[in-house]
Amino acid sequence: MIDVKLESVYKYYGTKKALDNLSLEVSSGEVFCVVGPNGAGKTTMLRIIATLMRPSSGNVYICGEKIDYKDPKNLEKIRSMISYLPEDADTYSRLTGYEYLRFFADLYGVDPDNLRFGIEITGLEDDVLRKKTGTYSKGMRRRLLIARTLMVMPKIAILDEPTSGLDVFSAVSIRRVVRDFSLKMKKTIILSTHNMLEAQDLCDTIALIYNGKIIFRGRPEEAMRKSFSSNLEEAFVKIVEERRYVS
Amino acid sequence: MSHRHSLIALFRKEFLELIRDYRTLLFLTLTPLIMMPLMGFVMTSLQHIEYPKVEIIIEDDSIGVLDNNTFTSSYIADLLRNLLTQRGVITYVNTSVSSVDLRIVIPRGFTHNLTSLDSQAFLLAYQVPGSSKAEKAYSEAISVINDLSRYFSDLKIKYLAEEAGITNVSPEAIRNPATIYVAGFIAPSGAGISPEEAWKIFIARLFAFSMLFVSTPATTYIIDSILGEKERKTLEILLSSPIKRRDLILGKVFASSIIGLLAAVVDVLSIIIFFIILSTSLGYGIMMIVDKGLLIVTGVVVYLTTLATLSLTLPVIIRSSTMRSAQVISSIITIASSLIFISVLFVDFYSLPKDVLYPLLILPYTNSVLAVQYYAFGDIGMTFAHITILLLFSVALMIISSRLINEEKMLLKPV
Repeated sequence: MIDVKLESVYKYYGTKKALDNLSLEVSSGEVFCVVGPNGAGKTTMLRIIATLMRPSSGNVYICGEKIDYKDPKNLEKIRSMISYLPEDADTYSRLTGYEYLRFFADLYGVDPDNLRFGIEITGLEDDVLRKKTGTYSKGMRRRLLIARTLMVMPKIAILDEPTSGLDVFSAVSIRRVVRDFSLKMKKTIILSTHNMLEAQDLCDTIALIYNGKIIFRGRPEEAMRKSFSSNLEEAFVKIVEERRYVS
Repeated sequence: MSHRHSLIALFRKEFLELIRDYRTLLFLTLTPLIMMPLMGFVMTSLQHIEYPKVEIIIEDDSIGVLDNNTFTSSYIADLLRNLLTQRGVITYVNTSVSSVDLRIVIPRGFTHNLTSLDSQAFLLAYQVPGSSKAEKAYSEAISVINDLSRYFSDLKIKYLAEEAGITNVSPEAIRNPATIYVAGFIAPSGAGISPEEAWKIFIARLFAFSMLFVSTPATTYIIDSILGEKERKTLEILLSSPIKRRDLILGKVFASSIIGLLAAVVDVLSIIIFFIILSTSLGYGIMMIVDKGLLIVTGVVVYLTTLATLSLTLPVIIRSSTMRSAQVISSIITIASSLIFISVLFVDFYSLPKDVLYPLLILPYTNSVLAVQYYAFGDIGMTFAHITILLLFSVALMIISSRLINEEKMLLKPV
């Protein structure tokens, strides 16, 4: 079953083309990784899937339902299936960790078991969760944000560079949470990253976006094999350079 | 997720953030609590500690005789000095002083003319311009000269009556054959009202004026509540959640309106403190001039005024490209409210011609003023009508605002 489908999507910011006839499909339960250089269109694509932006043209389907950006009820329905974590998101600094999770649990109608699950995956002690999130470190806030995203049990979780700017320990810990969630809950996860190790570690499928187009889509091993590379980083550099040369 | 639950969740979140924003709360409560009593202090106490200085210069050496009584300019100057001193004016006669607010010159021939039957006597006054002390000195001098004039007028009338052989004479009846005085108070409808009700109308005017302090804190808070979400990087998650846009607006507005409610309470409190100062200074009891019904109506109107201000500011905030531009545009709304609330001290809105009043009713603040003033006049129907207009105005703008939300523009525009 296809959970996310983009059909000939174009997106312009004024005259600048951000997405160029982009089409893709993400299967149910898949961990789908979006990689690409800065400004390639990763965040634009994720925001379009998260209903925060409208494509200039083309169609987007979530769990078989076409997104109608003009219909508030349709948007509410789509949004209830999705949980989105933006790259530079932050928490409400005057709320405690518990209050933050409870707010979103109430907003999404999450049952108490899932709220407990959210609390558990923060990995934060009770006394820490009772403190205002403004006192947390960046890593702690990121764990809370991940917990917020996953505890609502979305059909599709969208994580835009979830480990960006984190130290190695925090990044590893967050990766572990995402992997466990994927394995246990069998939910669809769309994740963007610059970290090839992360992509290789977490993802079933990888899409490389360059200049608003997908120039490679497949399994990580396939990317390495096709480009005669020993690791994913090298593979993507080769694929992008080849595309630059061609264009 | 039901509509009610998501609204409650958002309201609860906003409320928690609000009550933990100690700086805003402090600013909100301290502004009226300090400003209103300070105004009372300035209006009463400061005036009492201002002692104007007057110097009297005698140039006159004439002597006046009336009914076998002899008067000199020195006598007149002493009389003026005593009367002015009794009124709190520091007075010097023929003494050179370094600082003076008013100089009164007794010119040549003054005493003669004062006592004559065919000439009017003139004093010359020289006043320091733009000085409230000089204004006060001049005002006191006029009162004192009126007393002096009345005294000599009485002497002249009695002298003439004696010469004419008329015994039953009232100098006041001859001087002012017709006069007028305030016998009571009436409402604009013509119905008679008691002195207490007259006080209530005066106080209603001040209550309406006090709403001047309500708009700014609420406006500042709603701007921060909406545009601040982007600045604090929490907006994107909130907008991607399934919360209805209408609930988003309602939650933000109602939480911000708590600021209004708080402002209303603090406002009323500060007015009570203001009146305690004012009534103590005037020698009245506080309960004589503060009406409970008026307090309640003012509280309701202040809350609705805040709600209307928030609703009026919302479309601007939602469509503003930056936080600064939202603040600039909303300050125009605040200035509009200030114009109405300040002009209430000088303008009777209820008696304005229709072609002037009706356009002004587009502004919610005119309705706020009228609701309070009509209540003071005992016109409950008109009070209710203007409160209803305030409420409908707010609801309509909130609905419009919820439809104006454009996630993409909100995310892409710079803060």
